[in-house]
Amino acid sequence: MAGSRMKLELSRVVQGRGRLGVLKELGKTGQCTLEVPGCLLHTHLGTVPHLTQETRGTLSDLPSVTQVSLSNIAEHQEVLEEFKDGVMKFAGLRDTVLYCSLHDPATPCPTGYTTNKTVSVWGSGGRIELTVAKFMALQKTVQPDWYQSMADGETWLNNTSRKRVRKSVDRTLAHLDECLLVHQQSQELEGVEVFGVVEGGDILEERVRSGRETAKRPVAGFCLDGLQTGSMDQALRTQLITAVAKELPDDKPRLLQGVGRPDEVLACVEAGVDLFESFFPFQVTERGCALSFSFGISLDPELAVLELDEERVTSGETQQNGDLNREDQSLMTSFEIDLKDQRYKDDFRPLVEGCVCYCCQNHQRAYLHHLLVTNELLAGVLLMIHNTAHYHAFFSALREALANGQLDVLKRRVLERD
Amino acid sequence: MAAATECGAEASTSENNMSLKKAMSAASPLALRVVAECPVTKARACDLILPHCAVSTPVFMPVGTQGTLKGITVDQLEGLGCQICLGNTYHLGMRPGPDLIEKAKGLHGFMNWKRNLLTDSGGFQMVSLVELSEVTEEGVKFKSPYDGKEILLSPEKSISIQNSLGSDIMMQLDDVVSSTVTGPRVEEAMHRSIRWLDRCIAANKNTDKQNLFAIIQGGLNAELRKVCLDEMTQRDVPGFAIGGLSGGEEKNDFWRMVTLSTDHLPREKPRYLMGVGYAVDLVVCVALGCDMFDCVFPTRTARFGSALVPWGSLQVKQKQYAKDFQPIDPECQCHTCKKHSRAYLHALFKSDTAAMHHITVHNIAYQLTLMRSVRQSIVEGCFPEFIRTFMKRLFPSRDQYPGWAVDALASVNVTLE
Repeated sequence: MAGSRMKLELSRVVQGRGRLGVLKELGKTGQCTLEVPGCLLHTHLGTVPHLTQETRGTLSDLPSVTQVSLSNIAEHQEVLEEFKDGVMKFAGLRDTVLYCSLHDPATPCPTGYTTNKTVSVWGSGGRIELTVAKFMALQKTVQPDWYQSMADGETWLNNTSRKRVRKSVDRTLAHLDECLLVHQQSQELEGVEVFGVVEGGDILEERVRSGRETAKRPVAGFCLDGLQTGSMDQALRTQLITAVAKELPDDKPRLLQGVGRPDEVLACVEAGVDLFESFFPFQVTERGCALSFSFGISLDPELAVLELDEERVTSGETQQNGDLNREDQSLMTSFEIDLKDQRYKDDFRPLVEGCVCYCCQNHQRAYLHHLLVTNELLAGVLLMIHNTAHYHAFFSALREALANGQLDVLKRRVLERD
Repeated sequence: MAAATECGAEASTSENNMSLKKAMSAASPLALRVVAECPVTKARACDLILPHCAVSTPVFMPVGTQGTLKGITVDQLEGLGCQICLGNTYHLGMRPGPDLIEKAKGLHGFMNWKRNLLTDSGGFQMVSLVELSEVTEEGVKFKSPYDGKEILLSPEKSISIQNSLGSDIMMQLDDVVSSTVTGPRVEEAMHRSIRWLDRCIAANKNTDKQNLFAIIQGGLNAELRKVCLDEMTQRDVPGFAIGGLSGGEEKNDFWRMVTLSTDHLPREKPRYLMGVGYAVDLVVCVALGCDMFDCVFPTRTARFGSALVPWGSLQVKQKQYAKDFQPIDPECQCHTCKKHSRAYLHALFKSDTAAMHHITVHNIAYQLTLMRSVRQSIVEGCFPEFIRTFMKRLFPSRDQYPGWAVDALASVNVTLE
């Protein structure tokens, strides 16, 4: 029976300033924990993009929850059925909790294919249509520790009609009820937990309705869908999340899908989000960039403010955006440096001074620049290592700042390039 | 890790290596100690002492063309037991260029590789990659593919770039002619290569740190080869490469040129057979007296999902492996085989580049393990037996043994049942 063994223990809750705590008793053995606010480890079929277990092993303090998505998995259903032991064993993973989402947050998928009874995912061979029955059959082959229920989140395009938004809420609730029914009757899913998905597009009333209705179901937590980066500005996102959070029980976690940019993460934490998907480092890697934003703040609040003011004065060093002529300028954020830029050709410093990741300890910007210019595979490996380390260290700093009441200082530090 | 061989780690030889190293640092940056010689074939097992560490031969050198080994970190390469790998003068000379690499403290500093590096001269790329290259006595003229400018790669220029790269072994610029070419061009190229060798020797600014190898040419003509051998062995170079083979030539001609070359090369200097990397070729050419090999094949084929195994190769991307839950090679000790199944790698190829990296790691492990086993069998005096077992494993039946390999092995007293 789907329920909630996982327990969210909050140590600090300040309205409008975020929640701090630990998600406990995760996984079928109930042994794992995950600090919140935190993120899941984004993977392709259990593999951190570009990394083998050896290179991934250079990273420490990775999240204890691994995310896989049906968009990578659906096409392998037959194989997994024959394998019988689930994705975790199939991927050679150990000591981790497995969370299964519907879509891969890093790759937006084409719209226009959802129906009342189905949603679609895109594998390497094309579109795969999922009914609840097929969705649940897949979950049985994946054998996750927890999964999101099937959902219709196609409301993020501009000009999605009210009618369409309402349909997404209705369908998603219907899918949830059907999923739970199958779940409760499935011995194979004993001990596995389900998250309900809150939809509602950009319409406040629909968001509230979806939240309220979903909260009535016996789910372990809530995914917030249709709010991904690019779908709306942060002010609206904050408004909607705040409203939804009021409808949800305090003691169940909220996982926000599709949002990963540091500024948006900070704002969403303040609005009441506990968990994020960590696909942002991968996207940064794919455009040949390295995360470089600062999040280091002194523990002493007075010192921290002084440091910030000082840095503003001496700032103006090279970590600025790339040339404005660049085509993908719109994709690149102010939190990263574009290593393909000529200025890095003979820059022999590490990607980020003081970073302890394998890439920064062993290589220099000039080398990364060379690898990118010559289209070498190692660029992806090294950038993924750095970007992953940097991103998870940011989350660590975020939790520490919340614990010490220094969220404002952290925000100023992270956003100072804006 | 069981599979990794640390640089010069064999306890019994470390003392000898120390005294060799002392002698070496006083005089030349290369010392060769013949550890064992096969009493049946021409194979040798040697310790090749180079500036960055000792190399156990016979050795296969993976190719890291542009200052990187295709998706593998230097730590991974070290962990696999690699003691020497290749960088490419043509590519690196173009991008990022010798000046930048010098600023980065040489290619070692630039890629952060602490062991040995061998750079080729750029000559082969002149012929194989670049259109409209023109060879004159001066050097090779060609158009840069990046900015269309005309560039001259002369012996002096090649050595200058390699001096900036700081490799432990540099190759002379040779006049490269495809092995399928016949006629006077072959002779012209052979003689020119000798003249260019002398110019390379004169141009080397770092004789105390960098070794310059000569490259024996002469195509498939025994007479020309002999002339080249006679001339080049008169030069004071620390090692010799056998060049101009590993193109599209007939294998029957190929092995005869290899064995002719090793017959006339000095025992106390290493013999490097360029561009050879298929397992059969490696084993046979070790039997013919070669010590060092390089080839892009193992790492290149990995990226297409082709895994090298003792019984041939396995195309992981093929449908038949989708539900195959064994590792690539159950006996292989590499990380890929210890952690993942063929089925997982098959699936992973559809969603992430890491699949290629897994196969690359495996293929390098395969090549290095093969050479390690070859060396071990030479040291233990059972190389001929090793060859027989190896061939039996690789080919389903006796009549599938390649004719040229049978002949070549017979020429060094190894008969295959």
